[in-house]
Amino acid sequence: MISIQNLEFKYSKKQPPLFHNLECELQAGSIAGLLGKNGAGKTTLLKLMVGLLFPTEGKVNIMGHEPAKRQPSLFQDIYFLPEEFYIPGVSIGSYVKANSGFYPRFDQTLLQQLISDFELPETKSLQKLSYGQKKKFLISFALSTKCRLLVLDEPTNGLDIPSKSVFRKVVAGSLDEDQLVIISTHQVKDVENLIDRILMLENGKFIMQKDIFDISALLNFTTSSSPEGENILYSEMVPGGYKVITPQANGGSNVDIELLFNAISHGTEKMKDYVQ
Amino acid sequence: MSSNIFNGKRFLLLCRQHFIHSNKLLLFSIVAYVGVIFIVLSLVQMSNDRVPHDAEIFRELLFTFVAIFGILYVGYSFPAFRSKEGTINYLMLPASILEKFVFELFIRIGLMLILLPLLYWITFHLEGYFFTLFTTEKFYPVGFESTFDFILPNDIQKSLFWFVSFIASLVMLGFILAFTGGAMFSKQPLVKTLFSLAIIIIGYSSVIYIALEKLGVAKYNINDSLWLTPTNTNSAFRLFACAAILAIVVMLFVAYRKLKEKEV
Repeated sequence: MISIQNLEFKYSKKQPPLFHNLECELQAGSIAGLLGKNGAGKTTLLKLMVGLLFPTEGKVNIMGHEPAKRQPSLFQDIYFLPEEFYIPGVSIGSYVKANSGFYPRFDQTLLQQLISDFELPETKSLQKLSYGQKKKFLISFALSTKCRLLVLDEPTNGLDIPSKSVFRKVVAGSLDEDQLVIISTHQVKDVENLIDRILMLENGKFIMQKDIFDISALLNFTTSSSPEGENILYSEMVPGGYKVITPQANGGSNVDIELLFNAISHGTEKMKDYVQ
Repeated sequence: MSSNIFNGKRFLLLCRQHFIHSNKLLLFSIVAYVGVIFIVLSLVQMSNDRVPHDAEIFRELLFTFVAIFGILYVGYSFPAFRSKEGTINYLMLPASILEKFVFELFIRIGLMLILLPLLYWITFHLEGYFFTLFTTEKFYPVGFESTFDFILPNDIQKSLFWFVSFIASLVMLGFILAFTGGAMFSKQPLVKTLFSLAIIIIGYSSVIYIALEKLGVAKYNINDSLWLTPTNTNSAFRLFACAAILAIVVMLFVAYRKLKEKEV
């Protein structure tokens, strides 16, 4: 569904490239988490994917289209929810009436369900809602478009704790097999148990592109009383002991994405060898 | 929705979206426009011993109001570009560049050129009849045909086609410049457009002055059949009308390219 080849991008000719020879392939039917530190270029990459920025070199291909051409036949199948968004001063009903027609697969029933799940007031003007409520509405609208590619930039920012849990539930429960969701976040805990593929961006390159299942088959995430040990690839002190990553020996374990992220960012070469 | 260039259904969706999102703003703008006209017309009539307005005042104020409010409205073209969030939302909307461009052109200039004179005409008559409640003088309705009911000098009448073309294209150019400014500049587009325009006019005037006066181009004897060198009123109107039309086309192209190449 998404194919990125030799992507190079720089904001101006004088600046060094933000991305250099970036490669990525993503298929439908999954939820990919785009992780990286602040300033790693997550939002820029998402904008390149949806055609809001144009590559300096290389190709970005989405469902056989070049997003930079901004063709409506592609855009009716892409929904991009930016971190900071625009919302007009109309009610939910009016917004849906004005915008749903652009998306041929729009699911009105699903929208009603999601609005109810997020406990949003339907009659109030969207401008009068809190930031978190606006975001929950836009998440609901994005999912209801049934676009084959949903790109969500920091979707959990501004959401309260119960809403984050509802977010994970509705995203996981509303998707079809032909859809791909890309979630960019630096709050990895928010997307734990939701994403099934991790893309980790650092210094203009993907330092990891792996399915959670594969990571789980390779690495074991557990706790230990000591940070040292023959098999310990990475450790982090926590109250009462250490969280550690060891090679997988017996079956799978839940992937601790935050630990994995820190391990790859600060860890040893041996650790990096496992995930590359 | 097969066509990626222009699709009528998508165009109508754009119209519907615009009117749903902006209905309150449009309503307030209309009320403000009508209110200002009513107040100005009332003040003019009161300062004229409550004598009802005639066709001449109708014409003068029509051009003044349409020019001022028209430029203000057109100068706010592409309102989504005033913020980064709005720009993202606008660019991601599943409609083609041409549909968005034509829609903006239609809503900002086409509809404006119909609505502003019409609202003015309605307000003019409302104000006229309203004042008959306080005066014994009778108010006579004025039609749009009286707008052009004046006598032109003889030499202009001889070249009426090019004169009308020149005036129409000049008026249009004024609106198109404001429209293109709206596409080019994110913040304070009208002010920046006027500033850019002033710089361009000063630059061109200086070049022409230097060429004609300092370099002596004005001293050359020219052939009467030269298209680009007007030798009489008709050829002057023709040249300036063609130049204005060319400028309109160039400005529209610039606005379209700006929309197409916008990155955020």
